Amino acid sequence: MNRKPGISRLETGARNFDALCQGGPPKGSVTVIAGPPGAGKTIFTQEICFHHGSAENRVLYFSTLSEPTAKTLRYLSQFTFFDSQKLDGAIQFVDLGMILRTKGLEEASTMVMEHVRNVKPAVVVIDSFRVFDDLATSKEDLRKFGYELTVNLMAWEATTFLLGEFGPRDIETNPLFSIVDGLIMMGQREQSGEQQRFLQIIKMRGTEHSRDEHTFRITDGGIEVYAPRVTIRRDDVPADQPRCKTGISRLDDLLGEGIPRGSTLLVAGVAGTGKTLLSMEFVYRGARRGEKGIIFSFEETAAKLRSTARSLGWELDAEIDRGTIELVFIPQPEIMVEKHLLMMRERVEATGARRVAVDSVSVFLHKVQDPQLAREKTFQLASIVQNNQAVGFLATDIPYGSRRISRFGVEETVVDGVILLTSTEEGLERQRYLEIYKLRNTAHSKGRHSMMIGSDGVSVFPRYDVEASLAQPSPSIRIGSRISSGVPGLDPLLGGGLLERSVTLVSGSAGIGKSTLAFQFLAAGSALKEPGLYVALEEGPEQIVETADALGLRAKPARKDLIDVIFVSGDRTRPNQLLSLLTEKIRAQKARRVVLDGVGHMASEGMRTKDLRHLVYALTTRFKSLGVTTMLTFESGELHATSRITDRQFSPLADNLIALRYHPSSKGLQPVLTVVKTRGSAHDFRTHTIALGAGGMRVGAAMSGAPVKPPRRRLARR
Amino acid sequence: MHSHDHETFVNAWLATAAAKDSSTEQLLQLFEEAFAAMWTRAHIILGDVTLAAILDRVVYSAAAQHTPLSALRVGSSGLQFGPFRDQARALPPAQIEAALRTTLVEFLSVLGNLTAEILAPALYDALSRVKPAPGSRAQNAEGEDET
Repeated sequence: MNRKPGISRLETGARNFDALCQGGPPKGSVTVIAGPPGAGKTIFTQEICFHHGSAENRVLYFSTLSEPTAKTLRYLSQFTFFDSQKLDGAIQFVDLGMILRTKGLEEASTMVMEHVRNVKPAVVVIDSFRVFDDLATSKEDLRKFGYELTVNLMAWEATTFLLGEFGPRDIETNPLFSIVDGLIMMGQREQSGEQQRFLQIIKMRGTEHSRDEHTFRITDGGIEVYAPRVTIRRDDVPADQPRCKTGISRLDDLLGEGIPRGSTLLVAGVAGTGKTLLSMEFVYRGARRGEKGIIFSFEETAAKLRSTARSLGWELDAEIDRGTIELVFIPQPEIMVEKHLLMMRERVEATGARRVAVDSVSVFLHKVQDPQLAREKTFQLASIVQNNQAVGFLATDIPYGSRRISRFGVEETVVDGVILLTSTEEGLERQRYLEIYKLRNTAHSKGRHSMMIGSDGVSVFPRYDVEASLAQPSPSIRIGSRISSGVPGLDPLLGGGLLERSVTLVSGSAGIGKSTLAFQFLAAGSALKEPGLYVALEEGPEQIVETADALGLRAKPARKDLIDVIFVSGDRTRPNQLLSLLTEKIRAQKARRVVLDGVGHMASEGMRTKDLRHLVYALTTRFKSLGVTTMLTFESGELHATSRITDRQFSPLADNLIALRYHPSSKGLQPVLTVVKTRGSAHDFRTHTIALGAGGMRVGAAMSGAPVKPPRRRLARR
Repeated sequence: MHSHDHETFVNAWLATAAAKDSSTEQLLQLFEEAFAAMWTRAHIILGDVTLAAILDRVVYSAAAQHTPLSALRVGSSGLQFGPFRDQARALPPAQIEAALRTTLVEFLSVLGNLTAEILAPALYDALSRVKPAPGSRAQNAEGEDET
């Protein structure tokens, strides 16, 4: 195939314009720049002239009757592109006004060509060409004049710009437009509630140009075109990039292997669900790991965001001073979508940001009423993120009462992921939830998870079914290693004690001594310098401690007591938060023994049996994986019988089952204890009496017959 | 292609088309035919208005280097040698050759720039067919009569 010769082009120097036409108009071409007075034609052309004017590339600027040269020069001087040293050397201004007024078209044309021959310019401007239109006696006259002038200018390889107050109707009727190589229309009109300037390349021979209208503005630097549709193009992201971990508490557990680089996520929610905080924390946590980030805020000022960060104990100010985070605030009334899209691109590129937060996209696009336009702008934002191989969080408001997850319902189609933040009234409180609604190419967790905004930011509490899937398989109970239950007389019934990491379920009616037994279990560990955790789900910790003290169960002096008693309220703590809370507590304390006292109480607070069973399973599995030996207490409605250990079929979840019941006797109700089950060991099946007093619970004689000795086994005991 | 290439071609053509001791008249005739041949060839594609405009520029630029060329005129059918011929007869052949060579090279260069050298092969072909008329060529150095 023959190589086609490239076309040499003239850079205009006008910001972002050349991107619309492959680098600029072809050199030697003749282009009409049309538009009503005040559209910006003269400034645009003069910017081109001063951009090019030099001793080697001279410019001839012919002014006709529309604006005398003196005024032109005066207005020019306010622009930064103006260079007075170029006047009369590199750039020559020629007034055609006189000769047009006195001699007419032919003479004016001759004068133009004389100057062209003498100067041999690289660029020629005739401002305004409309005058020739008005002076021509007929269309044919105009066509002939225009044709000859443009041909002569072409022969001198001058890139020519003919300015004129032509409108769309002139394009169809004026013969000039069929002669010239290019046509650029400029104008202004109201759009989205504000006056916008527009330009459009209608025609440019030999050029694959944009045919869209593009907004622009006139600055002291000249013309600045906003053409994000053209200038923001998506690049490919290398596939071997490591994924992004947010660093936000437990959120990463829901995001599979992490967020792919180049991804943009909508953070959607109604007002007050935590979008700003989540987005800001995303950037902050990244900076703490050495990843630069940038926050574009259209709602809260930089000072307010800094203050919020300080209240959470974050060192946002330090990160900003270090240059790892940049905060950009643009007040809502000053938002110009096209302009600020380009600004955002520049800032992201300049900072090398790997994390980008936009708060919020809804405010940024608040003047946009067309859903398709909103979609396009969101796509361009996402392109900026992708091109910099960053990860973007775009906060977006969901209208109240709407079932959408974005303002227009289309934005989510152009992003890679959606994090949905919700809040619901539960009782007298409002509970927050977070859901990974969508994340491309990622095996993310589904469904809602509890979320809190605490003293140091966002905390996510994955549902316990997710927790279970995240956990390592729990190790089996250690057959060879037993620990004391702490209850005199009980260990022999258990085959020598409780197996390490086992789960023991203690069932009994109210007041029979479950809590006492459980506390003794922890006290035995404390005596061996093993920390223990007592989680009261029904009674307050003060009551628990008071009872324990009354029975002399706690170590003296107090500092030697390694039992931590906490109360977890079902009203305040969601079940899915419980697992995370207790896991953190156990790790922090290095607890070896844990009691959950009053598990059944959660069901009486409205939790479904099935959900409670899942929770208990998740808790016990987690505790085993943490190397903890667990005791759970359940209140049973059965006063006497052991035919049913728990009211809700929780028995299968435990390794050991101990039933505390009342045995009717002639002397009244006698509290008794039966070891119903021990996994992995033999045990005494008989029912034994129990007594509660100083020192706690003691196991007495069997209810019938001589005590049966447990089989002999040499087992390691601690 | 560059001006240098056009210059090389023109020099090569001139070496074969014109004898070393060609008279002014012979040179004028040769170049007049050369310009006419290229006009005919380019006219088909570019039209007379465009070609005239280009020639006008070429003559203007060439005349800046060789003043006598300002007597050349551009008409609707190409370069008109009339007034120039009258003045040129008084000039030495070498000067005429230099001036007209410059004009020819400039023409090819400007046309090439404006048309991305698309017409260059056709123009070269047209030019290479321009030879002196039989009987108007001087004898060669060996004295052979080639008429």
